[in-house]
Amino acid sequence: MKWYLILITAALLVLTSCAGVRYADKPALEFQDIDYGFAVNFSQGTPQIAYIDEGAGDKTLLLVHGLASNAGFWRYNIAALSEHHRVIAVDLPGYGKSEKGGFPYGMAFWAETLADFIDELGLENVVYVGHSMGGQIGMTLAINHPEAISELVLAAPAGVESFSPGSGDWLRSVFTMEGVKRTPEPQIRENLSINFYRWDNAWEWMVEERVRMAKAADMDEFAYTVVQSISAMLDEPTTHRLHQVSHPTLIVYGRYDGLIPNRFLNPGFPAAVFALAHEQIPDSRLVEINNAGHMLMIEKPAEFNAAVLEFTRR
Amino acid sequence: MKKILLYLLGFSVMAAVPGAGFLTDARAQIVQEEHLRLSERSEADRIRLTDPLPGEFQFIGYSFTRTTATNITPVNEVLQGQVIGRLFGRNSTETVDRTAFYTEQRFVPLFVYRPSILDGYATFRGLFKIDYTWGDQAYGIGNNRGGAISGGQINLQTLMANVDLRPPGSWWNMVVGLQRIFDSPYDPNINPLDLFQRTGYKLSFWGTQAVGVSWFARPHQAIHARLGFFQLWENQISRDDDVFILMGDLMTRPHPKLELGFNAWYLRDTARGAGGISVLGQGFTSALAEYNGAPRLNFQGAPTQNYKADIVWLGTNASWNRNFVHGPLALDAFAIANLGRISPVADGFDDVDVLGASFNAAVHYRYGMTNNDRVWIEALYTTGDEDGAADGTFNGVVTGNVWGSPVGIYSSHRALLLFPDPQVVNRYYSMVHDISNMGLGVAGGSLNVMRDLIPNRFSAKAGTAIAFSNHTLPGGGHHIGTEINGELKYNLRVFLTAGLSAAYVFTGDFYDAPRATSRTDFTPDNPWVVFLSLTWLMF
Repeated sequence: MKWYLILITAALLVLTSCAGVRYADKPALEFQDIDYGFAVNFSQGTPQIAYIDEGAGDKTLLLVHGLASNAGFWRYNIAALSEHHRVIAVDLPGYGKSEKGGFPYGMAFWAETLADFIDELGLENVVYVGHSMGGQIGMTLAINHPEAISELVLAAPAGVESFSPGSGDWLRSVFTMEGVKRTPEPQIRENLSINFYRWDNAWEWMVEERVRMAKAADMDEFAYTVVQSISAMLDEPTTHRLHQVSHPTLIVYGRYDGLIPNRFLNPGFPAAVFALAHEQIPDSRLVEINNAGHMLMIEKPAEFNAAVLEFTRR
Repeated sequence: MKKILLYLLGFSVMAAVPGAGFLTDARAQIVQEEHLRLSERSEADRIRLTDPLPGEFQFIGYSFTRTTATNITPVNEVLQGQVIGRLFGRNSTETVDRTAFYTEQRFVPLFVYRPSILDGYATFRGLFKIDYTWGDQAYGIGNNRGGAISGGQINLQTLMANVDLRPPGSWWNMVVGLQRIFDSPYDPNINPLDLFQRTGYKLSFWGTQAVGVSWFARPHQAIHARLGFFQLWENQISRDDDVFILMGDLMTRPHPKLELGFNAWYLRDTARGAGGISVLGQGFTSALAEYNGAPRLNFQGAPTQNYKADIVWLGTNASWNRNFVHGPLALDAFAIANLGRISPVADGFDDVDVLGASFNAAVHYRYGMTNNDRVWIEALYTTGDEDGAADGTFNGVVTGNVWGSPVGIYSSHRALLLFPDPQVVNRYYSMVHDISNMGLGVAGGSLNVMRDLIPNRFSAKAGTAIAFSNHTLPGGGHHIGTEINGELKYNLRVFLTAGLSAAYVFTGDFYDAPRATSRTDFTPDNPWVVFLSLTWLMF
């Protein structure tokens, strides 16, 4: 009888021991099935772009996400911003519900694609709002296609810190497609938490989405895009071209950004890096949001939305 | 025959469990699905969506340079180049009325060979340790003095030489050979050292290398398991006169914030005191144990101090919100009991029952931007025994420091002298060098405040630690010492760090006992140390 009790106890222990990994055993979440909380439209061009289109106004805010994310990462901003402006949040090609494949992913490629997208939709008075990698794409767009946009919002932008060739190569080598695909749930949660000053359980959707995406049919393409994105950010730097950005620009960042500057390769105060960008971009203003990390538009949406609206209303 | 049966038992347990399939192998399924998906793609897409093969040879290195000023020195001529163990112990480390000044260097190269022809099935790892003490002798090799000018010291240790069998897509791997033996189920080949200072038993019991076989399993993302068999001492190969340990470890995750571990280890010591490091020997009655500050037992009146022993450890550990993923507060703790029997190999002497326990808990609060912006407090309590084995029971704590040196390297406290500091090369000593505190038990703790003055580049730390012996030695008191310390660390470049560290200890009345200082006519001065360090993790 005692052995039965031991076995039952052991079985219970094993069963309960897995409760801390919540999503790994759930079914795949295909990219097309991710719930952004808003209706999604598709462009006609190639590559096809998925986008959210909400609100109306004289200005159109074009929201562009960062590395390894999608249009759904603007879910805490779209409603507030669309009360004042037309808001379009895109999935960059290779990410989210947009077309994926062997495209030459890079800053110039995405800038060109977005310029075509703006043209296809006939958008005017475009305020480009880019987060992280989306910010670096925005600067590339502003320099390569200045006519496409009228204003620029750089939210914790990448492309404002320099990497030596050696450190860039090291950074490139750290990210592999296998690594992107095989990251276990606890590590995914930890990686995501680094984007925030203080993680909140309300953002568990990010963990579930990322974990279940690993089983999606297009996960190989997503992993490919992530790795290409990192190379592209290093290969197509904007640090030496910041002075060429001629548009009115808002740089907004979280005071405790843990990702920019890179904590291994360029350790230091985030404020110092973004202030340097502010100095080099001629018509720019700088806003710091306290108690926020890299994902400031999710961690402090009210403050972020207010900063953007104040900028667009000036 | 008995030995062969025990070996077979150990191997059969390790061989049987991988096939049990007691949990769904979710990750292996994903891998299979990925292979299937990729097989349906065009050749061009298959190439595009596959990582380039990593190099067959990989090199990772660790370099550590330390220049020290201190009032601590070994007074034994043989131990000038290397000294390990308890400060004021039989290793002759003492405080002196002058300043010792020296520089040491350590280089630890790791070579990894993963031949393409085996598609990742097998990996060889070789890890070596090369130590230089500038102009001094390395290790206890007297004739090797003057190595700086001749540059030909005998100073290379092999720390790892093992084969890692890891079938692609599988949820387990097996490591065979000389490898790390840590008191945690995580695979030390693929995880950083600081993980082991925050999980399991924080390397307090096992934090060294040994030959053996480890089977690491990740049957589910929430579970890490290890079964290990390590041969600690092999004396005469034809006799049952060895020391080996079987280890079973499980780490689970019942909640996203919580890691919960269970551990059971069994050590069989039939060496009868044979073997061991040089003249120090090994085991409960050896000088080695005394050097290390571990319990040295004495079967008083017995014609021989030889013995056989069976020791079992049963423990549990937990960490809550490790790495501050879910907020600024993190906790970790362990409780572990050691029990067993020591049988003197002498007629008329009864067995000694062993029953001891260790408890540790730490609370961390991250108040700023980085994980270095934190305050943490840690407490340690180990049971002790005033009379050793004299009354037929030993209630102290048993760690690996009984059988090797150094084995238990408790270091999460971040003290520099009161408890062991791993930022060392050849001279590794501290006042409570083994958490058993010579078998007397210890109640101690540490408080540290750390701040990144420049995020992730320049950090400062101030700390204090205190320790009391749970039992006194004749003539002495409980207070071992109180330490104050400070550190500055500056990252010159990625993984290249310069440091300045200092500590001062107010020694307590514990050292009024002659046995605590190993001398009858010696009253120790308060020890202090200041050192500059340069650490480079190369990869």
